[in-house]
Amino acid sequence: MHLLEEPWIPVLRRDGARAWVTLAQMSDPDIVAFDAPRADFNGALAQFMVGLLQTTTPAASQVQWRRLLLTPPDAATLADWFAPHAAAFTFDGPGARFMQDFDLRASDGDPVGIGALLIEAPGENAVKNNSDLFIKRGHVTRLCPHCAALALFTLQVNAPAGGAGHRTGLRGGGPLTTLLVADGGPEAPRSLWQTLWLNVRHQQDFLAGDAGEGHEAPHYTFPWLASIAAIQQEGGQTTPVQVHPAHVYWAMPRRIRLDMDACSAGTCDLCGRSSDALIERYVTRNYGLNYKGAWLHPLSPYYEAKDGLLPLHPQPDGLGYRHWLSWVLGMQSDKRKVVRASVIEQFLSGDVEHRSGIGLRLWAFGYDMDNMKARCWYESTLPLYQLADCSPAAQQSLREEVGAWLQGAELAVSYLRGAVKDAWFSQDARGDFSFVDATFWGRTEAAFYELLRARIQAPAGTDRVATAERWLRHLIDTALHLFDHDWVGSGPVERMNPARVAAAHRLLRASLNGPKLRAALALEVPAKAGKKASVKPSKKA
Amino acid sequence: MVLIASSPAPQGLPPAAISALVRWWKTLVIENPSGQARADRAVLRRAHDLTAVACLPAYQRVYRSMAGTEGTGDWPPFQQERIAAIVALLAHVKADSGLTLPRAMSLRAEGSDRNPVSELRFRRLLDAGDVETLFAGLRRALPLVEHRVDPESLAKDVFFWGDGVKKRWAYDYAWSMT
Repeated sequence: MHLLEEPWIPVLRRDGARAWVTLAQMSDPDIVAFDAPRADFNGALAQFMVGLLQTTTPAASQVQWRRLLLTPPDAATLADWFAPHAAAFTFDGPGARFMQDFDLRASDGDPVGIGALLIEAPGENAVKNNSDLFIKRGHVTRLCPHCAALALFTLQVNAPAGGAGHRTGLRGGGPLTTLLVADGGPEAPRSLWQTLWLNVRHQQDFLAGDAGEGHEAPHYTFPWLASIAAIQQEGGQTTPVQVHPAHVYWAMPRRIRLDMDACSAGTCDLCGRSSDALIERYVTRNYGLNYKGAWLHPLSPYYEAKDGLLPLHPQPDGLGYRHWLSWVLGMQSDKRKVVRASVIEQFLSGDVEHRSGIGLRLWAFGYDMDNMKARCWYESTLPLYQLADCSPAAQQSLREEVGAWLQGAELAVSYLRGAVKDAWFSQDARGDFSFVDATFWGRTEAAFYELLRARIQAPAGTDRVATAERWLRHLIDTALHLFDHDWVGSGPVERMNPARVAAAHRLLRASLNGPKLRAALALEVPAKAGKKASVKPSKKA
Repeated sequence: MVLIASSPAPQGLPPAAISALVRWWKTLVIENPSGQARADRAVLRRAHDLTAVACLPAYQRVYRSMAGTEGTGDWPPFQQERIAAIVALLAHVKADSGLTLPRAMSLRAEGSDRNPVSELRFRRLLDAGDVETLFAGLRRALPLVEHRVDPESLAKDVFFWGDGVKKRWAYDYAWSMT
């Protein structure tokens, strides 16, 4: 099977039908989305396609890039782009295979069931301890070559820690990916091509001076085309300077070789289609490419840690509007510095005329991993409204304003969480109170986006102070309502400790109306007024 | 069991009914009240449970004056019981301090370090599951606040006694731990 010839990409057509197409057909305007049997496959497919286009496109200027966005290249053009790299996309055969180790052979070591390629599959230890409680072993035992290729790529992109020497991916285990999505509204969905192309930069932007001198050999881009020793010394590390810049899309942390000899006929356990070459097992070995150093994946946001930038990973609290700012515009507060994905950075800081008029959303997804264990798959799309039409100056003032809104919300949710805790428990109660946060973020989401849209669509027509006051009012009302109706107030007060409940309520009210929250929202703090409220209750209710 | 054939629908406490009630209460507390008012006050104060209140002509007169106001009609039995409690409790109120019950019960006298109604007693009041229990509790609590409270808020809180009122009381009472 050759990945450039095979129709192995599952897509959704405009009329709602599912189809499998070849890579060269991807510019077909009739295709609106990926349609793999699993959400993580869809995410991996998007990254695969963006990587492939970025690696192969000859577009070298903003003008060319813009033209290709509006008029997608035809299949023949795409085939021409891909052809020089054909050697890298062989999936079976005796030599180099896509995303598989160059040296490893099926006879080298004990075979592993193909199901283990899936991120959430129980590991060796879980099976041995019989602890595969929620996701059982043996769900997936046979995969068609199409699904196997997808599963393999998905694993290499997300690779969690897998035991000694089984490396994590270039962005660590289960990275967060943020992609721009062309948004034409529900009536006229944009073609998938536009979405993919929005995340590709023209070559000058992408290479930014580093054309990979000395690393023109194809295995510096596609590491499976040679022994890993050709890139990395034994026991060494792989840093960006050792490879071609496009390698970032083709990182191969795991050494895996699928066993294509022991195949059988039947139906694939994932897509349900029949195949006469179902793959059942693979071999793997540790000590593959060890990605270290200043990697910067173009599709992921990074945060500033003590020793440089680290990629963001989804956390157990999910994805939501509170991340909007750091993913879309980046964040530069004292507490936290986040750099948006470089593709988004370059897109939004480029010429307005080259991006204006494009409806945008942001598609964010990734695994929340606890080392080897997949805790959750998170996926969300966030609206960007007419952000593409905003000048850099407008973006900067938006960053400041939205930053203040989010700071206010963070503060309000911390007050609420503390109040619920104080009302229910004496002293320091430990435990998971994230449900309080989750409901708060959920209840304030609609209002946030409403303010945001108004702010982006008519930056001159919105008054900063009035907007912040409205947001403050909404935060206070939501926090009090959640306290009084959803959490503490949902039970009869006389069955609890009313004194504690009353104290928590009073403190919550005082904090929400206090000067700190107003300051966080960059609102004027009335002199002294904030202090009195918390100490003495007024005489008349 | 016999169902009452035409039980009226539940209704709230319209402002006109409240004014009628407060007007009546004022006849009890003015200087030199009439003989009738004195007599009514005395029998109502003596009534120690709601059945006893309901049987009193004094109560019936107040009830009629409330039910006869504009936009008001007869209340169903469970609400009549609450009005009986309100009427009997108001007979114990001697002055309007402008304070709600929870405020009055936790407003310390000058120099005192204890709430007039202790936290324990207040919690028992909150725990009152029916109006009969609430009536008994409040009847004993009123002397502790020197029979001074805002009559209108007393009427509303007893009439709407339930989770919402309880929560508000819990928030309004000045707990010593705060």
